Amino acid sequence: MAQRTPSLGQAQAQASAIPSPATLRSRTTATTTSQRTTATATTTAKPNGPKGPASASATQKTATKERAPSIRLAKLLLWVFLVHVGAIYLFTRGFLLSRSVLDSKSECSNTNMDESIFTDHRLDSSNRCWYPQQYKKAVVIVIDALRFDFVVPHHDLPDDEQEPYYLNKLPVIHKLLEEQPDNTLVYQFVADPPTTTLQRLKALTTGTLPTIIDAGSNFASSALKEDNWLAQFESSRGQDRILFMGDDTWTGLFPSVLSTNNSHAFPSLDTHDLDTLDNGVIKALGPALEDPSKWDLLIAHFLGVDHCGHTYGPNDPHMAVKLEQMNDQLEKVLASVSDDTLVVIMGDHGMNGHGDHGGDSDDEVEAGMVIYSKRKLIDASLLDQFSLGDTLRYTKPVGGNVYRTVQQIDLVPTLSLLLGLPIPFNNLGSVIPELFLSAKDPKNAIRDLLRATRLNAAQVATYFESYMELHPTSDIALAVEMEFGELFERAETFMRELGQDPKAKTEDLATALKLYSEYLRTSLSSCKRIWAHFDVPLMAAGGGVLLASCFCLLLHITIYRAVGMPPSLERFLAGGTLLGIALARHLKPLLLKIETVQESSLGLVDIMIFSMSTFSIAGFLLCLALNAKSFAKKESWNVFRLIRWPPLSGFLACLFIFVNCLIFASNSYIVHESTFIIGFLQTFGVIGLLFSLRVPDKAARIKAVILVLSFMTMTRVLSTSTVCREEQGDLCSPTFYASAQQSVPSQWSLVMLVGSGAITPYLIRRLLSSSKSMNGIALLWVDYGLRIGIILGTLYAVLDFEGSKSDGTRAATTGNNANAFEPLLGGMSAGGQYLWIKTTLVRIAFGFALIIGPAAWWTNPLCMDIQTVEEPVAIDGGNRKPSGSSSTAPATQRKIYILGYANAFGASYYMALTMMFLFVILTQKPLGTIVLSVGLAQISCLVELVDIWRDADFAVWQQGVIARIQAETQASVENSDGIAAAVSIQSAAQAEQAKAPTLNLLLPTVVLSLMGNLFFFATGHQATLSSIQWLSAFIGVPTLNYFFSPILVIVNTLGPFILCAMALPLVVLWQMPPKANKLGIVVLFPELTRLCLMMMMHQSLVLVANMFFTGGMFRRHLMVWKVFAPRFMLQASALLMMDLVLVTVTVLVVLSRVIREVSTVLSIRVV
Amino acid sequence: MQRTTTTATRQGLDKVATEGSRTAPTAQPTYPLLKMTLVAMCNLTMIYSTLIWIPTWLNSYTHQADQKQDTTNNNSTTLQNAPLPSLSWTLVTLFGLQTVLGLVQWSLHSSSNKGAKKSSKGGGSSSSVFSVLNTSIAIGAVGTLICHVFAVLFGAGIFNQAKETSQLAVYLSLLTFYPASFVLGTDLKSWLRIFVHNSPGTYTEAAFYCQGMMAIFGAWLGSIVIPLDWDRPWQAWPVPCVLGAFMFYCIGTVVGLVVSVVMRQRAARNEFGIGSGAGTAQAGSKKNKSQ
Repeated sequence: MAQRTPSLGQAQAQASAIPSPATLRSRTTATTTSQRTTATATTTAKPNGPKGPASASATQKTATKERAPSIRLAKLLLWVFLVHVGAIYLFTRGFLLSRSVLDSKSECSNTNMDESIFTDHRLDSSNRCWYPQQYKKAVVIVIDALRFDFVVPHHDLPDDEQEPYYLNKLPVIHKLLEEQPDNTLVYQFVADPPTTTLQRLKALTTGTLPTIIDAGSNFASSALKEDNWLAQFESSRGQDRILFMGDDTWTGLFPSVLSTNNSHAFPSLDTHDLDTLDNGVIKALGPALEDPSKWDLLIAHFLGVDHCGHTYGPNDPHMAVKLEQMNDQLEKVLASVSDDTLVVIMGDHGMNGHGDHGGDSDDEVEAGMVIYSKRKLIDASLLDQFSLGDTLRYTKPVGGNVYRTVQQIDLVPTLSLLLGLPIPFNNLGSVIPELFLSAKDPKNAIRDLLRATRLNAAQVATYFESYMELHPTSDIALAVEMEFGELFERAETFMRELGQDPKAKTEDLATALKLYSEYLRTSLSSCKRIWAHFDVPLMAAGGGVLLASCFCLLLHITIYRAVGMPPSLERFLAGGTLLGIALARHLKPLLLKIETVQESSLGLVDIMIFSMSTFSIAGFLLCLALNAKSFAKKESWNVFRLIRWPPLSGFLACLFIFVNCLIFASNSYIVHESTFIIGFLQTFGVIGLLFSLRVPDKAARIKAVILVLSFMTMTRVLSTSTVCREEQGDLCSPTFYASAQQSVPSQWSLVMLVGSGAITPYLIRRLLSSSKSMNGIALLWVDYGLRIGIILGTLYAVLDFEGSKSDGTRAATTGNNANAFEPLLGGMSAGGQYLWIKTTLVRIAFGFALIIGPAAWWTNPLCMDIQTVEEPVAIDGGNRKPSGSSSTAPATQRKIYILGYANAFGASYYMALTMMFLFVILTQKPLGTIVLSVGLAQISCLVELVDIWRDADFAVWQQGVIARIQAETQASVENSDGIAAAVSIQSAAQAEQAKAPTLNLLLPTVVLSLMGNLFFFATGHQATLSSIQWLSAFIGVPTLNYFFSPILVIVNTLGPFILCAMALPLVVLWQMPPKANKLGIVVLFPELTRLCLMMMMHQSLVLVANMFFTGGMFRRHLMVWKVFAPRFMLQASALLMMDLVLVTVTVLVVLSRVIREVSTVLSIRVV
Repeated sequence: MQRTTTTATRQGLDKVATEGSRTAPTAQPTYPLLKMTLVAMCNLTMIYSTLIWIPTWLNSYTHQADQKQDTTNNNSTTLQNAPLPSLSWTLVTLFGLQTVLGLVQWSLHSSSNKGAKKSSKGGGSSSSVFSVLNTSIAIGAVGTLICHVFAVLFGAGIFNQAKETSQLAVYLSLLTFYPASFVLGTDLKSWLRIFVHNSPGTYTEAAFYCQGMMAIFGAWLGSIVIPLDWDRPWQAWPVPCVLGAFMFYCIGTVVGLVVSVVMRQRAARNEFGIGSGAGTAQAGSKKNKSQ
């Protein structure tokens, strides 16, 4: 190649014979990719030409100017980003549940009701609060993520199948059920989503419904301010009567109750192994059980089962070991408690098939609860006697039996009254009836129960009263008036009529009981429905602002296609924003005059954000309108361009966006979105195949077809990496993890990881070599930095896998798990030993990706090199020499080849992309790394394809021009002489040159944006909360770090979008030679601006559709919290992340650096 | 990448120009409206009968033979009840009918070619019925393979439900590749010209083009209803795509007829010299479309 190109370049220089001011001239023709990779320059042997200083100063001058376009673009994008943030803030405030917290506390002395009805019996109780104390002591054992089917016996398993590891591992409970059925109650314990531990603990102590926004505060639990039974217990018995051991989430929630004196708290999120926390709890539990005089309330929170679920999934040998350990502990507890102790064993939530939780699938919501007392708890006949059956609910048969099902918050009033405490003020649960039908006094049982229920109902009614006082216009107040308020009145009236008659008939009492419990149930379900309180004006404001910003972007994309940003746009935007801030205060009374707005909880901040966005959007439009006039004169811009049918590529881009928006019209489509993304990309592939088959040049055509086919194949391959969500059912089979019941990567993925790690740098090398850009930083980074980084990452993954495998006791299954890497690591034994090694390794890799690589790149980002060849001058042709060389014609001519010239922008940018790539893959699971490696290949395919199409497009256009000029020439030759004809041809050619077509890059942009979604699904994510890979928070950070861990999780989750947003400029820059026009200017920024805005517009339009369907149409939909809201959160965070990456990394850092460097070296100006 | 016209590349570009602008042979001046309509009617009847009538009839026949049952229910929902056997019947009968129709087309085509100017394809006119049949079946098989590969690329299972996928592939191939192969034969260039450069030359080619493109588009469109959770029997895997292909094939047949009428008018205008540069204008419009 190097032998061929010089001759071509020389011929070229001689033929054109126009020396360029910068003494560099690119070849103007090329037929294949390989030939255009080097630019040649002919110069004289004298290195110091007369133009040396002049060009140097020109370079300096341009260098100072050059920052402007990228900074301006960054400013525009920053504005779009800020508008997006504002719009999302407004919408989120209106959409996500808000419930105001009442700080009142229940008091022992005030039960808020006429208690005289029950004064006749049991006056003896000395420790008298709302309800006579039934149990002096209580033991609460929380086993995190104890799913209901872990608890109950399963005897109906088929013999031929292996019993899952999680079933029948708590025989102590089965024994209790068999031997002491009257002392044991087993419930299905239904939690309210979100099923995260912090949320559940709040509900379990306060009896309130959760708000979804709280789900995020799991990482930093703040103190609970609402009334709760733990605080009530403390105020009645004193702090030292409480003993706590376990998860430190509790101490975070109750810092005043659980101090270091009475609690043994262990960090929960920091714990990697399954046993540290549990062993600590067990150590503390033993002495406590031996000496029960020291406590009245014992709380133990075991976390191992939950950890095991997260790490390995439920159906794993570790789970069996863990549950058996729990079984031993429970046995000890049950054996040692006294008669007046109530034992509550419960799970705070369940876990799904992967062992994760957070959502609201049945498996996540249904936990198990066991209540045990040595005293007889229940007389089974009583339940039937009072015909309570229709107020009680039962499960489906589990393991051959039917169990009672209760709400999780029902524990709160039950436990409070049984321990002689007032029910927490905010409680919405209702007492569990069985526990108040005291078995020792069957005669009065119904009265006891009625009394407890009535206290409970009165407490709930009081709560609603005070809520109504505070928020008289809220939906809850409306519902109290319309729906369930009268139920309480009715029950009270009935009760009063019944009077104090001690001989009141049991049937009447039962009727009263039913009335009260109906009130409790109805109020709870109304609250559940309403406390998804939507603030419609705020939502509309958010959606409207986002839609308006999309409209602005669309205008900019369609009208200013060749001009870039209109001048002084930033001033208009800033002016609009300032005006918005200034006017916000005056806008408020205006807005409040609208009737619908009055209902909403619109604050000044919201109005300010709204007016800022609105006015800056108005400023944008004003700027466009003012400049439209001048542009109409400058270029042939007319109104008809807007109306005209868009070109096929642009049309398809619009179609893709439109269909992508329509996905959100149905929950089925959101559930199956991963398949839809494949449909989009493959449709693009088929259209691309047609495009490629039309490429005139044969070699390019074959290359393009191969590229398209490999693009499609890679899309299909990536689509096979799935982690299924529950709703997908049979249509999806999970492959991301080793099995559906586990969350460890499979061994095959590790083997493939090694393979992909070896191939990726090689492929990048090939790719860059094809454009001769394998120079400078690329040599160092691709061959060493990237390769080392990938190797370290692979080692980390292997060690992690090995560590997790040898962690704990896995003796049962080690035999068949012979792994290829085991001999290598034979020397190391325990999982703890790997921790130091793997942390160090991955930290070095992060260093390569984030510090060493970028630093090297920043100092010298170019992938160009200069090759000098001495050649004898061919004088014989009588060619005109370049000016300045005629006087002293040397014998030899020095030729300078600039290697990597054609891809000067692209290769350098690609280097930065690979650094980001390395950072992202380090946070992924093994299969995620492979997926992203394939994804990088796919992105490279796409940009190569765009390049080929651009060339083909140009060639087709050129051929049309030539045909027309030839026809004209033929016509003119007949009339006039040849010279004039030649002149006319040249002028015609130059005139045409200005109108050279630019390939419409909107479709590739949209495809790139969609590829982000594809990679997201392929890296083991879904649009559900439970699919977030929390374990990535500990990659390279052994203990939870509030700075790095969130970043790692975010990069793990949104990494695919980051990559795609970062790769966007490559669509323009890849293989785009920095060939200046006569003024020394390369025009890049209009196109870059369009593409960046297009990507933002795509994602934000999808978000608008999401907002419209989620908040507008389906906000009372059955699936809104299960399907729509998580998808909204994903889209919002993806949009913000892409915006952020586009503004900062893409434009402000990488793009500006690349362009400044290239333009300095080649002394061109890029606008 | 180069953006300037220079003499160095002119030759190459000229070659490209001749290759690219070798548009279709102009349409015949005599317009066989009756023939085209007849062929279209035949097509419509054939595809409708093979998809709906014949499997139903066969099914009810077998059912009656088996046992006296209420067959009305089965009659209406054969494709939905049992897509696999029903589609098999469809494919077999469709194959037979397409073969007959294709051979008729071929004989008409070759005879008209003999009468009119020389056809672009090589030895097509002189070959025997059996060699044509051989070629067509081979092309149909290749087409099936291509359709199958693309169905898999679009997300159909590789091993999972492979039978259903292959049925869809055969159906699509029978609607697109197979009938066209009788006329086009192994002439790759005219295949590319018609289906890639979107410029069918003759009326028959226009009909194939419209039908084929529409059928594939219909199959693509049909897949949209698959993930909906309506739990309808016609949402089972190949059925929506088959139905989509069927519907859009019917539409395509009608559109093909309209297009050929338009082509005829254009050809007539050319003949009378109304639009002198009609050929280049047509090419220009094509190019615009392909942008």
